[in-house]
Amino acid sequence: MHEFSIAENIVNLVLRAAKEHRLERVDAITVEAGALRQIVPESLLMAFDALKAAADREELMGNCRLNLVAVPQLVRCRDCDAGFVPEDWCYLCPACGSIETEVVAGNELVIKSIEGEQQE
Amino acid sequence: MIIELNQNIMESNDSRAAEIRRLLEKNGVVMINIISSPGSGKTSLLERTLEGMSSWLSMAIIEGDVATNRDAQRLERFGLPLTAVSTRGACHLNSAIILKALERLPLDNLDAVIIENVGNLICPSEFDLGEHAKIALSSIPEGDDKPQKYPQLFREAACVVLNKIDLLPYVSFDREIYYRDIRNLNPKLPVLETSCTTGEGIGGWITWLEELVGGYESGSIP
Repeated sequence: MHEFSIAENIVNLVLRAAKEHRLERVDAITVEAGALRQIVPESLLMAFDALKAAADREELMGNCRLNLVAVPQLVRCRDCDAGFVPEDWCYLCPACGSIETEVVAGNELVIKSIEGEQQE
Repeated sequence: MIIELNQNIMESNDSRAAEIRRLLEKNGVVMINIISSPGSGKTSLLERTLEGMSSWLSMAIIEGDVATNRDAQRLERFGLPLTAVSTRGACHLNSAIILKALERLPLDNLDAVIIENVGNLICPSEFDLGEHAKIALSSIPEGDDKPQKYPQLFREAACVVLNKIDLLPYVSFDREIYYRDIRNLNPKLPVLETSCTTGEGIGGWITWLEELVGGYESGSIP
């Protein structure tokens, strides 16, 4: 249940950004979560909903939506440059069999953007 | 209006982890983070390690526990610097907890710090503690499917310790499947088989650990 810590981080970072950009309301947050980050979407959404409703931020983000965008894994072979999505957690290059491969996508855990209403 | 943030969600944990790395580097200390399920033998492995370790190595332990300090009590007899940290119910240690724990340790007199993480295979692997190496500890009775079920830990580990190897004749554990899945996930990952009950393989594990710490001190580990 590390989703709770992640939801806490999201809320804190959004509160900071809302202050910086003088937002009076945050309507939506878009988060990119890589397939390797072991996040259960339902758990993250549940934790976020609980946290956004806290009294001191209810007005700012009480109705805020969390959009989760799943980023699939992508692995690249350093020897033959083939790109592939691992099947059955096998990171050996399916094209040349090399063990020299690196994950190029799937580790993301990023707030891409927030949408809201600025103060007058 | 839409505001592009591109903000790393783990920033607060990652920045403290970077601070920890600087602190360890300044003091020439290598830090190891042992991660496993509850009951795989983390504390037993530490006991056997401390019994068999060369005396040139000066170590400290950070003992992570959800609620009690029972594990710390088991290690007190070794008389080494020991800090027990409680996560107060949380399923993982984070870098803020470790940074505080390190402040209580005599870093300038140490070669290595070993962290015993909270028993859990998922959450601890998501939080960078500023360690130099993660050790994935799994044990025979847990089954041969651990690498496939918890791939991220086995991707990030510097070494796997397969404990309770003495129980192999009594449970269904297919060594071939276990080793095949680890090879597929992380082909260069060393696997060390141990038994904390019979002592089998403990020497090999201690050698691995001493080489890691020795290599760090001579500058061969980044």
